[in-house]
Amino acid sequence: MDGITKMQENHIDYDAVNSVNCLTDRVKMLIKARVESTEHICSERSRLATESWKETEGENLDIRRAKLFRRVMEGNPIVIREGELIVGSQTQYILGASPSVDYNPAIALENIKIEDKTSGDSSVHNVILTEEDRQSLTEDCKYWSGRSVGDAVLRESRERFPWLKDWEESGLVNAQKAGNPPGAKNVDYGKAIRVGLEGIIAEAKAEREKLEYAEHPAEDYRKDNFLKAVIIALEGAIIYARRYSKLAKEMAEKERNPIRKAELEKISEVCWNVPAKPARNFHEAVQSFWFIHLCTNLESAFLAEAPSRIDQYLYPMYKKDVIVERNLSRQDAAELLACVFVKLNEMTAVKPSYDKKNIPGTQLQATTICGVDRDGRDASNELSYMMLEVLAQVNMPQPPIYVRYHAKINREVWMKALEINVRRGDGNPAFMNDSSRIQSFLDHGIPLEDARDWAAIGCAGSIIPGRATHGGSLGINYINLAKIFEYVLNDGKDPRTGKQIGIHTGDPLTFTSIDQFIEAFKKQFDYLISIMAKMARITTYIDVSNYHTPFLSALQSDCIKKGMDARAGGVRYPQFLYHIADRGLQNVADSLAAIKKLVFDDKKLTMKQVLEAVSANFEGYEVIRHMLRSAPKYGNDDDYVDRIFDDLSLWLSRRIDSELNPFGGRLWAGRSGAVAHVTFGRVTGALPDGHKSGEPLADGFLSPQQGMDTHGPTAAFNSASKVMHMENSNAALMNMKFERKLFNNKTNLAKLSAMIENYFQRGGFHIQINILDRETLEKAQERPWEYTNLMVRVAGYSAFFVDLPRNVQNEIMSRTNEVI
Amino acid sequence: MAEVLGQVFNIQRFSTDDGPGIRTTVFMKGCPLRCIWCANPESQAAKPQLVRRQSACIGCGRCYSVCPIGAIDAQLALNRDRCNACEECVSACPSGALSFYGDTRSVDEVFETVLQDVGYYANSGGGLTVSGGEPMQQPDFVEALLQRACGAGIHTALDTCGYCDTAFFERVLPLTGLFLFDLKLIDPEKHREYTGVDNAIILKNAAWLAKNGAAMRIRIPLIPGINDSSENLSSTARFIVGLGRRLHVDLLPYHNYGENKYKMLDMPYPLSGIARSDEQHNTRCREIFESFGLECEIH
Repeated sequence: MDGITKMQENHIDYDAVNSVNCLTDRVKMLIKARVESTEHICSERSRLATESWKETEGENLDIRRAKLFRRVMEGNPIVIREGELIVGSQTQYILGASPSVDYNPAIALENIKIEDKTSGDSSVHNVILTEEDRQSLTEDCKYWSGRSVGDAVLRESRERFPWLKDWEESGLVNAQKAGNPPGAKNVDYGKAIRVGLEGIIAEAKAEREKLEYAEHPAEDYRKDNFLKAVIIALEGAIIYARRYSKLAKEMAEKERNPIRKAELEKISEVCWNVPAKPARNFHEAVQSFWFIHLCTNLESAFLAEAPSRIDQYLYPMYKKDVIVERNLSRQDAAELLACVFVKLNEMTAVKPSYDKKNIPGTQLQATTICGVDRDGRDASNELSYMMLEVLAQVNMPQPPIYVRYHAKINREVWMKALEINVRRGDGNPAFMNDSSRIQSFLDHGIPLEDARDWAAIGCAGSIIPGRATHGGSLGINYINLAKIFEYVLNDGKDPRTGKQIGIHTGDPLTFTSIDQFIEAFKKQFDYLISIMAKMARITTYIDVSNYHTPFLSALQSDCIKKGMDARAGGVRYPQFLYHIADRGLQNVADSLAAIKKLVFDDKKLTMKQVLEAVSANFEGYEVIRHMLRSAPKYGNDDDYVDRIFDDLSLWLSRRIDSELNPFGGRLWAGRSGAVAHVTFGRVTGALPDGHKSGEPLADGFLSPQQGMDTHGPTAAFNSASKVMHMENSNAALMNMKFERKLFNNKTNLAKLSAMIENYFQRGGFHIQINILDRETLEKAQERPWEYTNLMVRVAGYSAFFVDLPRNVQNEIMSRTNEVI
Repeated sequence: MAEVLGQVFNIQRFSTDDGPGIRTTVFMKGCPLRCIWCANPESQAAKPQLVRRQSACIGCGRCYSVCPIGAIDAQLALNRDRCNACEECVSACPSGALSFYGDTRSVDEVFETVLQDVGYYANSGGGLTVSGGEPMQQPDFVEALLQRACGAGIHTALDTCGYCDTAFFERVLPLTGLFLFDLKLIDPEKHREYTGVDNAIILKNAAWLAKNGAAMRIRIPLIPGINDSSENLSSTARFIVGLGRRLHVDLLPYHNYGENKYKMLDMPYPLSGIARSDEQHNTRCREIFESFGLECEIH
């Protein structure tokens, strides 16, 4: 009986899925075109946005933002390329983006200068900017300078927090010349597919009808404007899709090849129907997803838009077409998925140089599969399984897939995910643990059903999709713990700039126990975090009060019901809008353990010797550096140091959690990816763990220091899971590397599975397994042109290795293979 | 009762080739055999041996100055015969270049490490493997360690060359979930030539274990030109069939990963320059065992 129900519910034909070949001539052509494309900076969206904004001066903010979006929808160039089945392009180029000048012209200006080659950072990849686009963008930037949200925040920060510059120069926080437009967004794709945008317009209209302007006229007025804005924005998206429909029709009329003609006619029909109306079949569902994804980007372009639980919201139409009605072959369904996977690789953004250095070559479009459903049943289905096969066959960096593991997960889907992980070798898919994530969300007051619906976002972070989104990343959100430890060693003074940034915690030469160091560290952090949190509250509030996203809000619960923009707090869980990311704890714990061991326990060194060696960056003090490096290191299942790491990790996340965020609720500790460890390392001096000035810090939050985990992977996993590091956090990132030959057969794959499952049973949250050998990477550095397809995962995402800056490449290579 | 101590030269966590699942392998020091292909030369001598990793040595000379008995000279050369394993030099070495192969450990100490990965064993069907050297050189320690593992519900395996008093096997049989029993050469002459000992005891013990119902797999290192002839492999297969049980055979092709350890111990590497066998040859070797109806796997 159970078996029968199971068959009807989530039946998977494994053999049929395994035998699909989604690399059809069409898909191969699309991949080739993308791989050979050059990135462009374009001006159209900026120009349209600027025009609209000039015209609407004096109107309500929500309405202005909606009209701006609609203007972009009406005017952004559209193109249908040879062979495409899923259509919709950010710009006229395969790979191109227009900067969000309306948010912050500084990013555009920075890029204009870089492409001018008169200034800027040569380690950052160049893109093409035509003279015409340059002029147009320069004009737009002139208009926005002083008017944009970015400027407003900057003005406020400069006035209120003049010392922020010192913080940035010191390397305490991420230094950004310009804030980024809101990234790491997501929307309720399923709702768009299910009810269509017209359905949501009807919902907004109905809400407007309820506004009586009786008891709360001011509030009703605000709601009214917001709802009007939602309707304008949604109509804009419908117009955009139908422009594609008309273009396809025109192209079909001229097309001589009867097969392509039929395809274009189909495209025209599909784009007429979706996203305006509910999707009627799988093709329409996929196209609807893509339009919504694209429109979200065109409303406010940046990165890390998360498709979220794609195997869930696309499944009803997949099941209807492939399993029940059988009018679509698995082969054709896989081809459609492959088309949209290629599309995800065409997505790009104009980034400030900070992000180009830190999160290069990727769009971080976190895509989640498996996990439990809202009732706690296994949600894995045939589409989850197919996504994995298509991911392996298409073999491009996007989308990064996160597999939500739980005890009841379909074993064949799970083992397939591991197999694909080893086959691709680049840490995609990565794995996340339902039980620790759901528990932590419950602890933060999120109701069970919503907690069960969580999805990955950004670099291995997590969110409740369609009911929460990230805000902008204006201001600062990364904090360098290793730098704070430098303050501890210098009584609050930063050795890099010579400025007193922290508070006076005493001369470390007078400390008589390791606890005094730990106390001093806590005092420094305590002082800095309260300032940082207040500053973040102020700047974030200015940001979200002045930059609204009505299209995104239309597709986020409960914005329509609340009559409030998502960024202003309309989403059900606004606490996700801002978090503070603490980085470099591994280096701090290892430094503390080294001092404890050599100075206090074994008394082989004096604190004076350690400080002298550190301030000389170990030059002339190689012996002392060797001794410090031989002290116990985090990642070896050694309580001597793990205890220090764990206690501080919990203390930090609880301290961050004790701060309020401006949207109600408490602050999260952001322990997801990005490679801030490289940038922070660059500005961090020598440390008592043996870290030399400028070297990268340990990556992620839980990965052991490069080359310091010498007791094998089980020891590293154990070190990372003695306590729950994501108790008050959006994530707890852990990266590991293995040689391919360790997992070259099914039996060994089962061992990989056992290892990950045990880590998850111990409360671990995230693990990314990279399969790489140094030799290959060395070759790729020497002859990058021969390795254009070589992908790696850098702390939470995939990128083409040759696209990475040299220092990030070197850092990847310096990480030890777990087992030699 | 006095605490049982053992000479252990390595505890390797996440072992994936010494029995089923994820395992922790405890390597016991001391071996009665001197196989010329031995990949773990540090396992042979029963006593701890001082070694220096040249790559880590920074030439600071502290070892020389702290050694109380002159076992390290001014050129930093090691005199192992003189060394009394006081470990002064190891704790003085700032770079961790000096260490001892071999360490005296209590059963408690070793078992504590074994327990650290208990969750990985449970998830993978793994457990503890005691290897060597020859574990049966230290039967009291091994018996006590296996006892602890059994008490904690951890699966146990024993990797043995088979050269010991049968009475020792009698003691550990009820505590051992799987014997990994090495067979190197069937011809007694050749066995003596290449391992230094006669194989009569080994073959007798294999028969005794097989007869007494031990779960066992036969492990055969494939050493090019020494024991990988079809003649030796066929005789080995015939012997295994003669044990009356269809025992599983694991073939371990020769590798030279151990060569550097010979250098560190100032020992000559007898197989210097020998080529590793190719896959085709390994497959042919496997087929010999299969032709006798034995299941065989190349590692």
